[in-house]
Amino acid sequence: MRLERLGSFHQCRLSFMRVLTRRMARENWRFSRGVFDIDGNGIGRSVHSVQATGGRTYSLVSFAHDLPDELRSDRVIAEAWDATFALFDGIPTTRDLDRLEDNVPFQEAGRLTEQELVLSRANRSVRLWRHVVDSLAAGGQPDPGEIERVGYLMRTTAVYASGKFGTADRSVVRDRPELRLPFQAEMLTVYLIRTFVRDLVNHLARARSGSPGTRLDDRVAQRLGIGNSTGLGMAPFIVDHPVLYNNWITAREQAIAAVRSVHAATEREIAVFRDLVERSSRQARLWKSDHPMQRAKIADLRRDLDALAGYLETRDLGDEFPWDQLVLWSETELSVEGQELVVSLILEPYPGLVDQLAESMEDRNLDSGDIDGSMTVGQVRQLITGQFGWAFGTDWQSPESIARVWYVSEEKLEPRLGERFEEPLEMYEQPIATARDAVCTYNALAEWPDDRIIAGFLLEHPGHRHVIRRVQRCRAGQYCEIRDNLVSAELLPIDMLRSKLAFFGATNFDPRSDRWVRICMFAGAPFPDDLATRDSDTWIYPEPEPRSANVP
Amino acid sequence: MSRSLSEIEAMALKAARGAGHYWGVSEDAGRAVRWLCAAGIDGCAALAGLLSGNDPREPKKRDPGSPQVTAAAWNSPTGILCPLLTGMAISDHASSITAAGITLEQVARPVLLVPFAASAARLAHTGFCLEWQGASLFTDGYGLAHSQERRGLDVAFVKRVSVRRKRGTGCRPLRMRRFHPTDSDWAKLEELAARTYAPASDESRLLGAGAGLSDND
Repeated sequence: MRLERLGSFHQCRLSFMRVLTRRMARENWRFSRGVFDIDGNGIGRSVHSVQATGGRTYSLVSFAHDLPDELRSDRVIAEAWDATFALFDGIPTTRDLDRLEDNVPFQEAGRLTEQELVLSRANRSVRLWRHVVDSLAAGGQPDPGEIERVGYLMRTTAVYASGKFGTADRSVVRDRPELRLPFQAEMLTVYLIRTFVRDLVNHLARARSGSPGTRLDDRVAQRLGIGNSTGLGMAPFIVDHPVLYNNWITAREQAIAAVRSVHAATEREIAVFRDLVERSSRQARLWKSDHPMQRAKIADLRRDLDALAGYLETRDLGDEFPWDQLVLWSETELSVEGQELVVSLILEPYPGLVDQLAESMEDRNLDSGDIDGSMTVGQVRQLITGQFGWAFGTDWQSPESIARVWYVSEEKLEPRLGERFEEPLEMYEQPIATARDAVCTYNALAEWPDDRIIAGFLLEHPGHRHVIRRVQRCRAGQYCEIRDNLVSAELLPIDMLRSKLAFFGATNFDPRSDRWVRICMFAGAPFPDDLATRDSDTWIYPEPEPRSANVP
Repeated sequence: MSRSLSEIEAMALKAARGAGHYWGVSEDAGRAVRWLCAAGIDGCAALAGLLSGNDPREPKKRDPGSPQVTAAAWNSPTGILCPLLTGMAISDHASSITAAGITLEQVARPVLLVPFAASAARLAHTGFCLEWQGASLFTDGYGLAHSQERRGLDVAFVKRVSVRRKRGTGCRPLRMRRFHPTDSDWAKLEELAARTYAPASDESRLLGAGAGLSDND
């Protein structure tokens, strides 16, 4: 996979948010609100619980704060937020809540326990929040155009789990069916945050209006998602978890291959596809970004969708191998952004072929870091050329090829990207330059005979140990490695972020620079009360809007 | 304070890196300390003890080093064997360590060898036995059996360790999901880990994460 393609990924049936909402609906998860102890100024705490299959209960513990504007920052270096959250394993007692209140509002500076699975926080979208509360308090409903333009009332600025800041290790939940697949605890947290946000905005509007009937219209609320600001922290993750990442891409590729092999599409399948193409066009029209690069990509996508509509008018999906034909057409006629949308869309009519592949998207091999020292030098050479053959054409001495340095900042212990030749950062470099390091190891092996075992080389050259481990681990699949230079002057880190966020199920990618991006999550998803009766699967595609809506 | 195993692994990795070890070696240090803590053994104390003597800026003659693995007795030209570098050699040479075994001479923090013997056991599909004064341990790669006597687990240095291949049963699986390192060991690891962080400048604050836009929208 190349970065340009990863940077154009769209959500699909295998995305983790959709895996979660399908499961919650299928298994009839039961939701309840325990505590809602928040005053008229929006300060206090609440608990939203859900009982999953098998009887386990998870609770979102929320702390609502009154944050002055000057303290509001999406940056990870912020120290205060509009709301802070923990996902508690079970139903918290008052003592648990008191303990969490002493820690969760401080986020990284607080301390959690094995009873907490996730730590998160969110800030208001100031403009939309005021508009919605004002409209509701005045007895009306917010302008749907405003809702569409922003898309969310709060955006999360971090969602930590898997042992971070004391939360439970991944091993605590990896055998629970409901949380076994990747990022399910994090997605559940965000889903419950969305419910909390709706409850909070209703509560504040009611406090202002004094009328108990004041509430955000259900259909309007359903359009609202939870925003998210994501920075560089996510980029090293996909390099540090090559097998997990491989499993995601492999599942998606297998799904695409399965659908392309479908000999003939039924009328119903064609109808599903046509409907979602139309709804995707609407989504593309709603998609806003101020970033010049993303604006160009969105413009391309809109043209692509027009071309796709043209294709559907002139070509009949009733032909043999219609999906394969369509993909082949897209590869010559559409931009990469459009091509990627097409392969996501063709999966939609085929839950039976696609959905079970989600089960293969985790990485259960905990010992995959063991180095097999008995492997021969010749075999290692083959692994390196097999995985990094493309990298041997790069001049790894040229400043442009190694212009960047990934490092961790002292201030917030978060990954950062710097300029190798402009800042004194090289001594802090993190091992993200996988291709450069692999070529370097290959060159160091030059004098070693093919039949020697690699243990001998490792003993003499421990500096190459991380590369040997990596190429051995990455035998697990052909998509472990991003086939691009991750320290090049040309690198756009947002391409790495986008691919991961698309697997989450994010939409409306809005890069704020080349290294952080805002997105929207769960917009369109049914709220807990509606999971059983509304569409718990393709909610991610916006419904056609009535004509009165104020949408360009 | 109770730490999750992933926090412990991440901290051990950074501490080893901060003490001047290569990335690959540091990864193994992280894995080793995690393994020990999962077995209920204080890997943080062992690593903190091992590393607090090292300073990459002033390597000393007596810093623990790599083994020479040519004979049945492994020793280090620097005089003391580093349990990380030696453990890796054990794991990497798993297939050639027999039931007659090898002897390691002059080893710092020998308990850190145990996770590498476990890795060797997984790779060679057998068990490995480690013995030194005050400790006798057996691992099948996935669990650990050790003698009642625990004193030897904490020693800073032993003259001799024997490592041999052995079939066996009776290992207790690793059950711990968290560990309580002492505050002082954790602080030592943190201090070393801090050497891997780049000090912030105004420029890097702005450029490094690419921010600068208002979030009050």
